[in-house]
Amino acid sequence: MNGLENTAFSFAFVAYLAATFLYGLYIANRQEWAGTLGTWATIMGWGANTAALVARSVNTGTVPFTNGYEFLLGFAWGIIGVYLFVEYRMKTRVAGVFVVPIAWLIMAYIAILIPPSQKLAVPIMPALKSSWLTLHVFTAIVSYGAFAVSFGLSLLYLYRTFMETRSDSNRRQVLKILPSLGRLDEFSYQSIAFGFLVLTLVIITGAVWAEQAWGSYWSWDPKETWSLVTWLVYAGYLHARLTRGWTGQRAVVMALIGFAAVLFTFFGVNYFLPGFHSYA
Amino acid sequence: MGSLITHTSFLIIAIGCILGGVYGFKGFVEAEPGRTLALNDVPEIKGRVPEDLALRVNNFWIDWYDNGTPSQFNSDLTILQGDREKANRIIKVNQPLGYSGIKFYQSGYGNAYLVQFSSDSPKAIREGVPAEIPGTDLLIVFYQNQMSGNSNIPGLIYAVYQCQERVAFGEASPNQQVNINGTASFVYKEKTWYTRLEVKKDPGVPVVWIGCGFLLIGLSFGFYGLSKRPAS
Repeated sequence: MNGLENTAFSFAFVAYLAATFLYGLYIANRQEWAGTLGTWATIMGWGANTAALVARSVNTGTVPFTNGYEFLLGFAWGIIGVYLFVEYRMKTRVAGVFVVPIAWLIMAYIAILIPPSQKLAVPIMPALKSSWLTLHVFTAIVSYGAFAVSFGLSLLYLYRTFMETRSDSNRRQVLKILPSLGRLDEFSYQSIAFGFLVLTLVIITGAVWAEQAWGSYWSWDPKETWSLVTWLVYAGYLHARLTRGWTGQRAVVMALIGFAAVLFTFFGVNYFLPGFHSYA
Repeated sequence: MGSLITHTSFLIIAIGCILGGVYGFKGFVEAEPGRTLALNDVPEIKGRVPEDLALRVNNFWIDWYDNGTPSQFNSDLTILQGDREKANRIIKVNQPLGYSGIKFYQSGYGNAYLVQFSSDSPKAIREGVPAEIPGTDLLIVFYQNQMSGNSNIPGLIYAVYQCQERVAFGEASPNQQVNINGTASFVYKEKTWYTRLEVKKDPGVPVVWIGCGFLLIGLSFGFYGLSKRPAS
């Protein structure tokens, strides 16, 4: 990491944390200004996150998609990008309290647990020299971002369900600013449907690339296998919903399992199941 | 409609996979620069390509970055049928060579050493792979000696075997004659490489890509229908 990349990263880190607190404050005091400031902090953090990716790209001389550190920086960017779109579409700011901290935790993970060697600007290895790199990784960032947003919306769904069972005086006030369960369910569903379409593209571009680099479009490499597991979990979600009418709580549970599979496909596979996909 | 296209696409992908499994093959070859190999000699390929189809490795080299890490692995290949040159190309990682449905991929490499026995012409011997010493019943095996020479021409350690038993052992430096118990001798000339290539045929691949295309079309229809619904 050099100067600008470092500064932009730190700014995004602080902005996402501030946004999380502001969104939290908004739920606690129901004052419009706290929510508005939360959105602005998120937008500024996202701008800084973008700047960190651009600075990285300038430092390395290639797309910032070539190792685990760069992917996580992109993952946080994808989460916030999809979130801002959904916040705009849903016209509510409360989901931020569950979504923005996911991006913040990823930034914290980069700061604390990614070894400095991965943050050096080193030239890319021959296997990554392909025009498929950009599309494959970019689609991964977008689909993972959409799944993270569905995860946050599912948590908000559970939070609202919990609040509905309580009987203190705060309850009615909080419920007033929370979207209805039906709306949360619907937007979580749309995020998953979109993420699923894009995840399919991730797997297909990966297959085309693997056929060119390794001679097989599918090798049951751990990364391939776990991306397929993730894909199957969300395929199960969509089928259960469309053919069996699974909505609400049961859909929420499947969305949580799906995002756990997303996280395992990145973190779990990288640390426990080494394979072809060793760069990220 | 989207659902029908999506589910049909799995059938197409499955057909592609089966086609590849039934009519495809995949094998590996290893060769030093200058070697010509008959593809039929590869066990996985035997009988599935024309008898006289051969592959010549003209050269192999590594491009390096300034920091000493590899930037690209290159093999200069010629495809031969009988004595006619059919195709010629430098393949790299991510840039295979295709010839009548067969694809050649840069898959790996290893160390080899050019060694001259008595007055024969120098021969490339792979690290760790026993080679016969011409005109004797001796086998010789070479390893890089990490303690001598440099990365361009490292020193070697050799061991000589006769009927499973080690009869000689020692170090070899570049361009110095080494005598083996008075029965044979060799000169280590220089270090070279061998290249490892994947040779593959999979007629199912285009079918799989068509299936993937239908899958994306089907899912896009489904998503389009969903996003047009009024949000509740």
